[in-house]
Amino acid sequence: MTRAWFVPGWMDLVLLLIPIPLALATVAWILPGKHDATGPRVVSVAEVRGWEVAPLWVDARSAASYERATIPGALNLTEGRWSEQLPTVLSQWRPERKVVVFCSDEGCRASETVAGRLSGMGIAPVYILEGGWEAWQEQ
Amino acid sequence: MAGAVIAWLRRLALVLVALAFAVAGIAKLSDPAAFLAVIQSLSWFPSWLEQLGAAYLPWLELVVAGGLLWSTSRPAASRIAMGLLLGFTLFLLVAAVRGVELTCGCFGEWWVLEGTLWPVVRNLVLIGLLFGSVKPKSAGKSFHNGNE
Repeated sequence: MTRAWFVPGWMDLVLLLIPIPLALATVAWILPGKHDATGPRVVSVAEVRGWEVAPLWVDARSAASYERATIPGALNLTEGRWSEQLPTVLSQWRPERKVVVFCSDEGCRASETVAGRLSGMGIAPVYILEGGWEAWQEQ
Repeated sequence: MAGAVIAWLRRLALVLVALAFAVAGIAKLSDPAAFLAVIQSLSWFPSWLEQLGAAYLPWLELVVAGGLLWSTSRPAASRIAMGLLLGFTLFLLVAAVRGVELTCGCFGEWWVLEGTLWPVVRNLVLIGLLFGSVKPKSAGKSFHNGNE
């Protein structure tokens, strides 16, 4: 009796397993700090609070998270809505004003990506908030 | 004659789906951090799962693309492809319902479709092509029967 085409077989498992070692290798490459040693510097909440001039905060979390709560004055800038949100960030940025990008917590990568793109555009200095929004709330 | 044309169209549909998966996988792998950022922008999953998912999905798409073109693995690859397309579509719909404005990142920056409608339409077209490549059992050996 012929099996219906939608019933899984051993080959399904083989195909699902093949990408695992490749994925693990990719994860090792994209882990924080593994691929870009010259990127924006990481800064702590305490360090930022010590600055004389308040930085331009850039919230790299989702629009939904941003709307729920964020650091006062922060602007939302995400990969998904980059072209739409970037003009607002650029209008607020001045060369003498430091930019601090943050995302949700220690493990998130969105702040690195956004900070990297801002740096690539010639915006400097750009920093990444250590521990992100979670660290800000704790302090 | 008509049978040959239909068989040829089925093969074409399968190649198009395989091509779409290959392009999607390569696009994501060309900038894994960007795809990871798309997943992270949702804030739905723990960090380790976001990283693993962002790394696993593109490779799976490439494996599926290759699997669709090889008769032995074609049935399994088409099942996984169908699962992925349905999963991606559900993912987009849930994001829309939750009010998350999402650029799906399906094809990296190579084919950006904002919002929910067009990525869902694109997925439905691919699902249609995948279904179209299945030969009815009553008509003889299925394209998807392979060696399983």
